[in-house]
Amino acid sequence: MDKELKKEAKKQYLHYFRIWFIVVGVLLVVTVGAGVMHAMKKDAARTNNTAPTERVYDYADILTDAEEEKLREYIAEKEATYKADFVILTFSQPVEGAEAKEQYGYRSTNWEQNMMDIADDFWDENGYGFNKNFEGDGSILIDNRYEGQRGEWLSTSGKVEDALGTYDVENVLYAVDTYYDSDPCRAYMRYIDKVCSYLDGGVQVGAGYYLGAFVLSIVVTLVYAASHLGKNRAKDTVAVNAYVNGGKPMLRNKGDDFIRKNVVSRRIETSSGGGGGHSSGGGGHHVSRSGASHGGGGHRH
Amino acid sequence: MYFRCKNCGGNVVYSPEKHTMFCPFCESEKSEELANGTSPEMAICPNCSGEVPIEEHTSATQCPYCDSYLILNERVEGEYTPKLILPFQLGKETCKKSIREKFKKNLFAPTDFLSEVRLNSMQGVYVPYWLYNYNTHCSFRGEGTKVRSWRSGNMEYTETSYYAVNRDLDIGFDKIPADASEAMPDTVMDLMEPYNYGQLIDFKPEYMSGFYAEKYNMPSDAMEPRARKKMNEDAVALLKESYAGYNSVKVINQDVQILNSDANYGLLPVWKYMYTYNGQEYPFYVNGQTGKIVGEAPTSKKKALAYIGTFWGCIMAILMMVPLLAAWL
Repeated sequence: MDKELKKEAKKQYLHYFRIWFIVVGVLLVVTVGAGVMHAMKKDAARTNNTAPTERVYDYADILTDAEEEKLREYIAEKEATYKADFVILTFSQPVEGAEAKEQYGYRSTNWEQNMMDIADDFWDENGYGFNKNFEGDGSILIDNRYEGQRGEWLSTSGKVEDALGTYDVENVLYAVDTYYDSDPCRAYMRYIDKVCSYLDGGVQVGAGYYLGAFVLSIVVTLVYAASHLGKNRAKDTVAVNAYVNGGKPMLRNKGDDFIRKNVVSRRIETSSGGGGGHSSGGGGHHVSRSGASHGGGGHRH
Repeated sequence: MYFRCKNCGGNVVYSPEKHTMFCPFCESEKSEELANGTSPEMAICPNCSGEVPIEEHTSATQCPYCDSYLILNERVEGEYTPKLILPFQLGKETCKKSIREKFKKNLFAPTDFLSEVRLNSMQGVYVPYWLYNYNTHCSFRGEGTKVRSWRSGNMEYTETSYYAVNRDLDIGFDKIPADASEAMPDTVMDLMEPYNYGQLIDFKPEYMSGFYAEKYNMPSDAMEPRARKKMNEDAVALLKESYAGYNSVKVINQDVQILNSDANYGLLPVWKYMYTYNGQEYPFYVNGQTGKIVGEAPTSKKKALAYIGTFWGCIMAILMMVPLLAAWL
């Protein structure tokens, strides 16, 4: 009897969760498949061999030789893992105003526009991109140290452009900002780390997501448990006139005699109020002068 | 008393589905003949001569040896003759279906809670009831208020009018039930109500064949306070309904006067399902006329943990896989 009961309980359990198990099973298979494909993509060999091997251009001379070497090694390691080019360019020249426009042939007097053009052009003209000449995977961080016009611009391409939305670009730039003045080498390493984390798939889903998912799963499970633990208590369903002859009483006397009344008054207080708000905006994806698609953004200091 | 089939000699019972006497052996209808001649206590089954255990208030039972339904003459005669009976309108199969339907969402109930074997142990019982009739005069004296508000300019005015509220009602209460069985919990029996008295008929012992029954355990005087309490509550509620419309009413005097009353002895149908789990009894009662169910399903802690755990695991697995998929696809 006990054995049969256990068998029946198991049957009921499997029958009840069959849809759930199918959904989780299918998701698991798809996830594992996607993971394998993702890993295979990671193992892909470099296909763009026309780009320069140099990755660190310190024209502003803010890095020591040792720091430059350290960065080159670090970039080489990350490029091998993430199959994307990481380029760093520092310089010190005006990028804003009519004078700069005339002197350097910029297409704008605007700091942002010119920083974006410099980054895009440097990438495109040198033909960077891990898997494709200038339209391939990778990113470049340019850092202008010209007094009064300091700031960095990140330009992304290929899968890096796909992986980083406007909000993510901002996060990379904030990571750079943290050490921008105190330790530029560390700031550039943070740029590479942060971009890599977005390429890592899932890593960009921070601890906040997992905590939220855990809390959500607990809440949903509690609702589920409560809905099935209901006691189905019977209610009193006897109407007040259930046992009354004819269903209603016989009214012998009904009196509603007015006695008195009183009136009170009060002044209505009025009040007024207002509100406010703010707006924000931003962008990221654009086409460079050579026709390649780029994403990115910048921070001025 | 025992009803034997004239055609096959089997035990004829009352069929709630067919609303008539029915032989489950040869499927004859109205083929019963009364078989008496047993001992006064009915301790001996007239069909198989087996000794049938009889409890103090039992008036109908089933022979544990041949499964024949027996009615104890001396407990349905004389002072114990019920005036009225409400025959079972719902059969065992219908009740089993109702119980399954009601508790199907109780996922964490033990696996065999709604099993065929367990539900087959359900017994139809005629519960003894005293049915009380009251003729009453109910009066109410109070002060009611009606409030209205309006605005004029930047002033708001509130006017409160006071009224002397008088009501006199004659209310006849018919067959307020109070069960006269010690074995049946009062709160549960109260929840079994209401019964539709349109199907109450004069007592005939034939209706008891196929079911268990008790004679009344207590005389009508003993149960009258319960019925009077119900009557008072209903009378006060009806009085309150009669002066609805006031914003507030202050009671000055309220009186429910009983002009005359009497009580009748009747039998009302209840299906009883006793489920035992982990040494504890979980009784379920089904109104044999309306199908109303009273009882709470037990919870299997093991089953609850397994189901809740699995559910949580599935949710977490999905929430964990979704971002990975989003990143990799």
